[in-house]
Amino acid sequence: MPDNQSQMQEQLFTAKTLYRELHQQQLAQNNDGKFLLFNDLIQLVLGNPKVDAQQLMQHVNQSLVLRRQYMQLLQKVAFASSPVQAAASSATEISSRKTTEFELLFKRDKQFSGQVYVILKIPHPIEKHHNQGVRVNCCSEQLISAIHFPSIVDGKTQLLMEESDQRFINMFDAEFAIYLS
Amino acid sequence: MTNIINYGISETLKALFAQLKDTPGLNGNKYHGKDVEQLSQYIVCRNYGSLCYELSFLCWAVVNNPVYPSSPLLSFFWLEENIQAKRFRHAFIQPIQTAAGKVFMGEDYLQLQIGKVEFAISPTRIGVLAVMLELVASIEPAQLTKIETLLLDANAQTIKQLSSNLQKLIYSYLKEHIPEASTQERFRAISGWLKQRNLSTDKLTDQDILDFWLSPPEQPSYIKYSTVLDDLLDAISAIEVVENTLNADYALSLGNNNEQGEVNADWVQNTVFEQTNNNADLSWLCQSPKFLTLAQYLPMTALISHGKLARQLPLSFLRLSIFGGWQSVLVQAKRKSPQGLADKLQQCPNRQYQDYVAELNDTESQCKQVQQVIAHIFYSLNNPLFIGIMLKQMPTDLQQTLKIWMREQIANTTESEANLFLHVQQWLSQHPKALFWLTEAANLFKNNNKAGFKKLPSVAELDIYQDGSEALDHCQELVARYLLLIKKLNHENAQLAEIYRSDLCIFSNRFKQIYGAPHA
Amino acid sequence: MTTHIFIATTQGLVAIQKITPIDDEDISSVVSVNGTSTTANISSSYHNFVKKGVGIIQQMFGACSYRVDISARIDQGNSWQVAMYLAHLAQSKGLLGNGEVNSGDTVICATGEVNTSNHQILAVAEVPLKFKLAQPQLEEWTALGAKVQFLVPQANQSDVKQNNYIQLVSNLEQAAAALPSSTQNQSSASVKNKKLVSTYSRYITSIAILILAAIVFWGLVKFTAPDNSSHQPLAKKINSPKVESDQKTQLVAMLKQGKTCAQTFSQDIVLTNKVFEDLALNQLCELYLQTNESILQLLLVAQDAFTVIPLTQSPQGWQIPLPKNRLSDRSYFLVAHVQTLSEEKIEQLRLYRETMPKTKMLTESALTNWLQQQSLDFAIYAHKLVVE
Repeated sequence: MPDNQSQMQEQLFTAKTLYRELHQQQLAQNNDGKFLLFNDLIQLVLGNPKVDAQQLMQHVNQSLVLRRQYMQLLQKVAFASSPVQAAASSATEISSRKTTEFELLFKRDKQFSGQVYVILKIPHPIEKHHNQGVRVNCCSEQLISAIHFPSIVDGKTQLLMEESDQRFINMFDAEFAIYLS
Repeated sequence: MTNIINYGISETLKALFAQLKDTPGLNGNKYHGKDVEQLSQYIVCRNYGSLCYELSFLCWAVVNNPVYPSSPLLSFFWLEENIQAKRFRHAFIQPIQTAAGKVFMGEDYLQLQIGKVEFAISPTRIGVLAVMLELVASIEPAQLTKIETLLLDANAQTIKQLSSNLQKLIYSYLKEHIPEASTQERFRAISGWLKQRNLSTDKLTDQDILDFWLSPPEQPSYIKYSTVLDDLLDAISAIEVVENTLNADYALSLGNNNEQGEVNADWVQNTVFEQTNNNADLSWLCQSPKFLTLAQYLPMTALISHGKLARQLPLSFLRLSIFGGWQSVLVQAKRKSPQGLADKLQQCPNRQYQDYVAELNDTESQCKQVQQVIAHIFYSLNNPLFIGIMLKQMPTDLQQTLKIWMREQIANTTESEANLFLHVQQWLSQHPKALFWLTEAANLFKNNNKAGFKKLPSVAELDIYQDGSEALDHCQELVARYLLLIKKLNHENAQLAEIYRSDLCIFSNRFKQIYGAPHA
Repeated sequence: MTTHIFIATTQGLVAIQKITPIDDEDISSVVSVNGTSTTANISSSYHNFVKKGVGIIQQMFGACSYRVDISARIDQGNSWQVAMYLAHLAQSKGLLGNGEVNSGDTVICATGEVNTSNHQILAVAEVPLKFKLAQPQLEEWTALGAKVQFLVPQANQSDVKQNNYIQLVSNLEQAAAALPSSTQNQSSASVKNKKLVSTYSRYITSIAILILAAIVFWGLVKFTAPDNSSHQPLAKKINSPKVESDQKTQLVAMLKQGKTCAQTFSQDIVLTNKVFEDLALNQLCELYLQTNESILQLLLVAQDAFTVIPLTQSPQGWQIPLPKNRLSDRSYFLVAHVQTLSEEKIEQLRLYRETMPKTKMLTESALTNWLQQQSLDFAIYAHKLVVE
């Protein structure tokens, strides 16, 4: 059999075989085997509700490369941001953050002192904020913690949180920069 | 120790393509299964050169569009998702004129002129191009910035440079994830075995396939019945196609190796996928619109994959469904615990040949039903395409009447689509059986709550329903012809149940040999 | 009479455990589950139900935002609205229970959506299922001795068969009628005890009338400052900040001896300038105000809520009901009268509270102003129960 003939046959065989393997229905779909596409990361940053945000953020926080990619995307698409604050003392807790685009503050519940209302005010929200809500990303060198606020109504949205919740602590920690996406 | 086959594609690449189908977008899944499937054809046939070229020109148009002052690729492809024909057209509604070139949206194509080079991109290509860019960005996210920097105010030479860069990127990624050696090894082993037995396509029988599985060659060692069937049939059809191609004089140049001694990738893709109308993965029928559920689609997968060879080897496909399926159960049990495996080995498969036949019958009637629903959609939107569907499901006498009537109408070439539709309605009103069929179709539509069928689509969305109808037609035909053969088998050689019992013996013994505990 | 309000849902009855006014423009109303930070998805709908201009609650009850604690999540629909309205109404009357039903309590289960423009009650879905799921509990509470009702929109009449529990309601007024009237507002006690107390009250009243004449004649000696003999209006005399010389007005606390209230000991709370000393809640079992016999009525007016309740008198004194949730400080006034204020007048006081611009903190002067306008003789005492 001439060389090119057997090569042609091999190529056809290879194409068919690879194609079939590529489209084989995976019977046991476990999350560990999922591939993180560029689109998945961007949808996570945008706060797409169809993304399993908690699982993906865990993944992101375990990888320096992914964290960097996440930050790069965030900086490009963020609606507003508040940088790391210069702390007046060694203590880094702050009570609120304010920029021209948003204000983030908290108030304690009068009954349950361990619970806080975290209020996000956006005087000029975009359509996405009305429909999908707002994702607040708290970013430090080592960690990105993100939390989703429900849809903006009358220029504000809120969450009721435990004071001990790390995500709450990060929001009001001067060593974290905040990005809204 | 037998050499366990290293199946070609890495788990990473498989997962990547699975995720391309599932990744979410602004509305539902971002990419359509058809576009992902098409990209996979380009990849496995190593035919992605022209795709990279086309993508490079498209990126130039996006990067040099003043509407996107920053991160143009991110904005166009991910934030705005201009990846459907309509949105794509709208995104280029304003012509672009820069020192380096110009872009404008013509009636059918996006026209680019960069220096002396002209290039046209059809809006229908945006889907597969977007998936390609997703692949590039997922392999190396930094590529997006590199492309933007390279293409800003770039000339045609630079575009070609980018195309070459992208090809290299894909090439080295695939080298890592699709080692060629294993498929070569497999093909050589099989073609050697076929030669030994002097087997060609028309001589191959169910027994040959079983024999191969029961005593495979030393290297590589085949264990799964499904791989045996797939590889044997793929090899034998590859051999046959090439022989046929080379036998035709005019085709001597086709498929021939190029200067580097490589086989023409275009020819490979055309031969494998487009000529034979075979092999294509149709799992997008289960996406949106959801023509079929996965449970309805899966019984057909092997038949779709191997086309006419399935009719030549009907018993092998029965064996594939029942015993190939059972082997997967054993493999799963083996992963979990030795005791679990030992238990399963003592059991019988939970399905018999008749069960597979029943599943196929069910799938066939589902295909017919969904076709009727699609006909209703076309009818409701005044599109005469419903006639083709209706024709196939009418009793013969009515079919004849309609065919004759249609021939008369078509002879009058000045008929517009709209007029034709009106006339068809007149014909329908005179034929109660047809009217009844349409009423039935309307009810089926009403009761269909699957994605894409909850309400009537717009006229602009009809393309996918037409594609779906054609694909369902193809499936229905495959299944119907296969089932006819099974009926014959059942009638001539003994009852299917008897054949099953004999096969059960053979397969059980072999499974115990492969998976049972080693003897002391 | 403690009134428990339940929302009837397709997963069973959900108790409205507590309503707390937040009344902060920055904080939107919220529905939380069992006092945790888990919020129900109906929070935003509830906020609209409260908001002036869109809803009814702020308009009727005053605060611009509330926190409602419920016993289980409710995530969709509007059929909680009737029950929510009733819970606010009950809370404003100091009647709202926490969902733990005892003998003698009133239980109202409701399903229904409210047209916030005209207060009509609209039909809702799944009424038969909601009732079916609730029924075993309704029967259990009835056997326990509670008065039980299940309110259903009139528009859903064809969905249910008439029975002892079901009340059809077509508007909020009809729904409100399901609440007990506040003259029956007493701490949970058996019917028999209620009757005894009523009898006792009537007895006291008749004696008091005789005394009243004498008092009117001689003046309210007990309530005037000892060194002020001029004919000043009574009210001024009462409110002059001086050391209380009335030794007959005493606040008596019954405190735990050990871990439970099975055994108690009594402690007198010091009174200075009409203000009793702060008292810790954690050891407190019972609290009584002892006054002289001329006092015919004692009202408890909460400083930080809308509660206005006439108190009951027992042999130990006027019984002051203790807050059920002992998680925050409670400040309140005790208003002593030598005449009984009518139910209508008490209601007017409640409305006065609810229409105040800053309803969160009722000041003594605001309360005094109102009382003065009623031309009544009164004395106000202030007290605070604190969480340690």
